[in-house]
Amino acid sequence: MKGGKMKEELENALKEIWMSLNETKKDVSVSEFSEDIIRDLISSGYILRKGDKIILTDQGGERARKIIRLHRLAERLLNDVLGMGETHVEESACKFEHVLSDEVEEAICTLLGHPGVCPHGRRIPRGKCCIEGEEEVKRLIFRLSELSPGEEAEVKYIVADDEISSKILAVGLLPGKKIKVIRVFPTFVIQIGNTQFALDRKIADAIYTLRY
Amino acid sequence: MHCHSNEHEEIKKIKAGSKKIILVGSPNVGKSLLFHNLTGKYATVSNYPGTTVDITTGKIKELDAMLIDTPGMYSLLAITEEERVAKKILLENADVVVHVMDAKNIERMLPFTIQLIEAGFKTILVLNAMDEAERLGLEIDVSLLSRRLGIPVVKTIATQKKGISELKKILKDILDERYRFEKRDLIKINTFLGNFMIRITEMLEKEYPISKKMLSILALAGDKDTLELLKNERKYNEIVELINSVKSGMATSPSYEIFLQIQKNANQILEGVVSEKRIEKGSLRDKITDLSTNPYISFPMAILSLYMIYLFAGVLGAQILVDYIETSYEIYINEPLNSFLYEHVPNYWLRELIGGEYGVVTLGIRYAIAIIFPIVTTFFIAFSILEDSGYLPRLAALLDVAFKKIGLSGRSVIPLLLGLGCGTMATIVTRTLESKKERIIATLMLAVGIPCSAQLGVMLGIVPDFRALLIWLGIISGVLILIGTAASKVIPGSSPLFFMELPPLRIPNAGNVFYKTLARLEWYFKEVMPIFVLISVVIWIGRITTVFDLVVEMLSVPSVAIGLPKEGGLILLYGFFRRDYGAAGLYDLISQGILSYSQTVIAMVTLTLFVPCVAQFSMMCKERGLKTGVAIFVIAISLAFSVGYLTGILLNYVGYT
Repeated sequence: MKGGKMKEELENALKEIWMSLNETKKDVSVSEFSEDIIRDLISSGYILRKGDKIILTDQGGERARKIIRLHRLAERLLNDVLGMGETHVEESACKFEHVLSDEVEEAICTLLGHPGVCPHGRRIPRGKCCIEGEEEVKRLIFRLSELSPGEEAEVKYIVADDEISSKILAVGLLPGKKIKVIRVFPTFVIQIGNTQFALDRKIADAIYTLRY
Repeated sequence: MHCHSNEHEEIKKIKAGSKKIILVGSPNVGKSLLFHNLTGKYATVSNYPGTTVDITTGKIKELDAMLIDTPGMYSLLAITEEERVAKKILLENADVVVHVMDAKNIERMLPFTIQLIEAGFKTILVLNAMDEAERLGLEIDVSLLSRRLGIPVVKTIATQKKGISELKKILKDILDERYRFEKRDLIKINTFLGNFMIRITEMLEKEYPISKKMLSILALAGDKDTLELLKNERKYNEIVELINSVKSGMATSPSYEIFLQIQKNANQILEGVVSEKRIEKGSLRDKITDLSTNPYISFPMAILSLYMIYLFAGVLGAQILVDYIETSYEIYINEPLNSFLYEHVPNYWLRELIGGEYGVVTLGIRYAIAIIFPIVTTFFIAFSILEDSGYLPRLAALLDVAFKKIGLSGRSVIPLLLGLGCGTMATIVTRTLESKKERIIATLMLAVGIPCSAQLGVMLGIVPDFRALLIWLGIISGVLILIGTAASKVIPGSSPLFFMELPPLRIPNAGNVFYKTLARLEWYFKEVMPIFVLISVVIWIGRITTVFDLVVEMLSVPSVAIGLPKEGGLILLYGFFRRDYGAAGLYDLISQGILSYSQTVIAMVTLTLFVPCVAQFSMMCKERGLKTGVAIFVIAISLAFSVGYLTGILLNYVGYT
């Protein structure tokens, strides 16, 4: 493997092989990839050649799952939390998948609540954190507008234009403040400290909270 | 709410007066009640945010000082028009600043105290509504807090007049310069913004009413008024450039980071000051408070509260009381007066000025006292009860989604509902709305279709049957929805945001309700009586010169065109002077049995939609500008006649004649 570009190419090939074998349930022939890539994949211990067909080794399967998992988690992150458009998501996710460390991966996965499917509806392979934390760790960051009555959360950050954010800040809805959702219909009613506030969806959408 | 025309007088008084003490604080923390406790003067108090739209001044006799009540503000960084008004007063006049806060929300409100202290004001912190805080299990170490802030801190319960004498004593000490304020460095900005703050502070060369540190903080946070204030600085351009470069280098806004820092400073100060005992919740009041925002409960509650207003103003006021007072007035004043005049005043026109059909006493004062007074009084009582209970913000929250469809936010429910009392008063209160767009739409709706209490009362009194009431209600609401929808499309600007504090529900205090009703009535009568008398005189002059007959003749043309009798013109002319006056005229006409079923409905619709009264019209022009005012006026006239005309056709078509 020579440099990052090469690594990316290998990982992409591995991803395609895995998706084809596991999701579309189709055999993959050696001729679909360049000889260089096949050679490198074999020497890394990721695949075996069985005649014309490619078989994934355990090690290769593991690696592929990881890359796909990262890609789809990245999609979720960019799409849900950052609200990026479709094309941007795809582009960025493709870069993301090759650079995320294990810690970051777990953090993102936990943050998003161990999502089971990507925004396109495909399964996200489960990671260690998903299996371990499935029961007690739920998704952490929610928009205020996504919370249900009775839920408590802590304000984490505010994403809004100047007009909305200055309003939110002026009344003291600062990051770190604990809130309790009282109602979500017809307007949102929340409790901060000992005061209740009513706010509309636009403002509730701008407040990102950590749910307890 | 205070008579707007007095604002200049108030400002003059402020300029001329002795030492000035200014009350500041966020909405609904008890500033106005405290004002009353300190001065004995009544500023309208209510349990909803944004009642004080004008400044109120009063004298504290013992101290020979002037007390100024300001509209609610959350911080020195002004966002709404009200806050800007408050800030302006603060910057120009303060000798002492009293920051009133709701004790239970000390954590959220202390950042503003810190800003005031850092700005260099002689500040007193008043922790009000201590009873509510204690009920929640909150304990506040006042002397520790006072030491940390370097200013006096006082606990009060304004509703029970507790802590007022202590507050007065401290105020006296400060005015006599016996109290020593300790200088503290309370705002510590630890991020890189701190360096910029220092750099801007160093660039300021002129003298200002507040500290340069606070000015540079406000400038960094992007406060427009502050930048305006710094315009004359030699290094103004350099400062602006610096601020812009800070902004462009940040993912979040500087104001966000600064607020965060100040809040952190506040939290540190409060460490060890506030302790909270766990207290079991679930009292009956908590439950009712909780239910009051539940849509399934609060929709019926909303209808119930409107029904309460109807019972008060519509039944008790417009029917029972009006009947009684009207009849008595007729028997004990009109008849004796007329026979007296007939015997002793030979001159016909002189007689007509006072008595007769249109005289000052027989028409003007009769309308004001016998018809308008009972209706308006009962409406204001009902409104004050609703207001003090804390229910109105909940109604606002409930209706927000629906109001968004017509370009308004739930906040508008307060001026619109008040408009059912007096459109002029309500037009002033539209100032509490945040966007210009929302203010225009609310003003338009108030002018066109929200009947004032006198009108409403008379309408309810004359409506022939329930079906007619529904037709009238349907047409008026239809028109309101239509113009709201159209206006929200035509008027530029983004749709409004809704954000409102919901105060705890309180059982209205009878004394408060009484005083508040009294204050509103006083305002109303100062405004109304002269106009009623004036109208009688104008009509009198008009009759002598025959101009009056000419205008009535002219107005009777469209009046006849939409299916009303000729006398309709007269009513419309009255309505032009004051809507309630016109409504009262309509009342007269009905009692004479001149109008048929369909004519009554047409008259009700037309008069409701007809132009606002002189007072409201002038207020519209004052608040929204002449152009907007006149435009609304024209819209109202054309709507009144065209909808009136269509109503006639509709009634004819369905056969309700």
